[in-house]
Amino acid sequence: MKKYLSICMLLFTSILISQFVEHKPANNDWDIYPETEINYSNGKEDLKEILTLQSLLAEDRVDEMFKMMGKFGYIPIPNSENAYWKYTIDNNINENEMEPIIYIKNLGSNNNYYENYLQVFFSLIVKDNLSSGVSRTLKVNYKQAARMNNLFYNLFSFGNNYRTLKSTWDGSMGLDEGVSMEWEDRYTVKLTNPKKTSIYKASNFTPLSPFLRKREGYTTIVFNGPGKAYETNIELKKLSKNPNNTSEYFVPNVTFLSSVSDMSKTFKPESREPFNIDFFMSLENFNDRIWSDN
Amino acid sequence: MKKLLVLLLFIPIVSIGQKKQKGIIWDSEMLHYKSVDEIIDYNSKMNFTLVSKMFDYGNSTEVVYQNPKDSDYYMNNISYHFIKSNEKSYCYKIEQEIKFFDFSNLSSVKILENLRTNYLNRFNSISKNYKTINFIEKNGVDYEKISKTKYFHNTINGSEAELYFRYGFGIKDYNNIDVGRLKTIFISTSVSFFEDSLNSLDKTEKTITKSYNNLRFTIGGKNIRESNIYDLKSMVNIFLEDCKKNNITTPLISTLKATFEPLDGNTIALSYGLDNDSAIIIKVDPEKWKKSSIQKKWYILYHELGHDVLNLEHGQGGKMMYNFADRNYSWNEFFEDKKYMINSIK
Repeated sequence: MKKYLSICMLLFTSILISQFVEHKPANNDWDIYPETEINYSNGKEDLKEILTLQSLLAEDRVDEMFKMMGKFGYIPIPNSENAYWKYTIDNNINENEMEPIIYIKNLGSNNNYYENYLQVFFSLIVKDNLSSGVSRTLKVNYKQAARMNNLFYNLFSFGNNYRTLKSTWDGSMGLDEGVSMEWEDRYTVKLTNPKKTSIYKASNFTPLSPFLRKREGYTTIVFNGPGKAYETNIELKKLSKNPNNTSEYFVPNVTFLSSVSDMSKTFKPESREPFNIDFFMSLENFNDRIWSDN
Repeated sequence: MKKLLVLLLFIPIVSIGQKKQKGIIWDSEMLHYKSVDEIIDYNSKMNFTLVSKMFDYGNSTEVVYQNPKDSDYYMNNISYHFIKSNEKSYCYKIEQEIKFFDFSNLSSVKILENLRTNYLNRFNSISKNYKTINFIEKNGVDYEKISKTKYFHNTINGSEAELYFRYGFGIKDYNNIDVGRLKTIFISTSVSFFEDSLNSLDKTEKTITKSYNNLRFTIGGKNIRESNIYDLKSMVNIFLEDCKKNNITTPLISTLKATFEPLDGNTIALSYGLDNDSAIIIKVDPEKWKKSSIQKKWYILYHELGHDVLNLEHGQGGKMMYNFADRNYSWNEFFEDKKYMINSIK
């Protein structure tokens, strides 16, 4: 009986641990295809701006959203509806950099998400032979597309949902023999066994829980951010070929959708403060404030 | 129109001089990307007088020059500059407007010859589709409407740029035998990239307003201006969607009854579900409803649902919850007052 209990315990612990994202120090192991020379220097700032716009949309603060769009430097794309890019008249942008092109879309009536959402194409700045300047492209070759997807993915400092981390490793949980657990600080827990030490950190960005159904063809990142939306799903479309020219691939195509409530529908938006633009924009790093710690 | 007025002011002082002016048609492509000061310098060398400068149109500046007054034609040169900073500006468009009378020594043939040497021959070789556009000046001509031809040209920095060329020829008859017929030739070259960009910036505000309206009029994926205003239940559902959109949790509704029924006096609609969270009961007077504008219909419905769903009383939730709705409302009033009402309960 004791043997079965131990096996069950081991199984339970391993399932539990497998849910968590282990913290790894930053390195360049994932820097793929550097020969393409593509960079995303303004990535974090762009992402912060997009999350601000989506949070305002989720609270139907449309006036403020357009005001912030202007402040961030977005203007409408000519002859397109609800499409915006950062455009300066002298096209003062650097070749081989990534830059967002934002589409404001409406999901229609549904129970899960706020109806207005952003679809963002992270375009590539390329030399334009016609105008002898630079222009933005949405179609690139395989290596460029892979590197761009990777650069986008690396903008996120992944970790674990604070509430899940705290409730799981609350100190009362029985651990296997030889395994010890220690909270290094409010957001970091260390698990040690004779063979390995693992660090788990809380983060506002988490991969989609393995228990939830993924959107086919997309990688989902969950942002537990501020404001009245329960969370924001950041859905990155997996590398896709241009059907009209199979040697071409599309640049990263990302959908930002804000959830109305949790799965059990117990979350009430009224329980949260409205999104504070100035505070969010003033944060240097995304995890300087863990929003689920409240 | 403005240009025509300026011209009419100048007609009496245009002298019928005999002096011949060489090089009437500029090689304006040479001037693209030059600074304002360089263009002014070039004009003064050509004996042109600066008429106006720095009419600021946001990122763009317009500079106007005139030819010597003793010429046998009247000519406006207008350069457009994109101002990057206090120190840097790029000329992206040059317009030349030449006006002369039948009796002047300058003939249209001469000008056209000059024009042909400078531009038209080249265009014929570049674009087979090139057509000369004729226009007759009546109440002033919007030169922007003259169709443009795209072509490529080497800029001063050696790279090839795409340019637009516009050309027009027009005659205006004055019913005055002393004045005769006024002929106008118009030519312009511009860097397509700058012209297109500045044009699109001009449209920015309009496009943003369109996006803004798309967002505020769409509730639950439906444009409320296009909703069926005789389907009260669907209108109530739009209100409930709007609550969700505004982060307000509404209770589960077990009874939704929205009907047309005659009501006494001036009352257009009445709610019967105040403080009954599971029911929405609305009665609407069909006659008065029919006579109300779409804005007023929505205003009244939101007022009644303010009682019914949000449990607001008169005096709570701002203007939308005021006791009377005896006038017409604009969409802006509807959105502003709705926003106030919704924010008051958040």
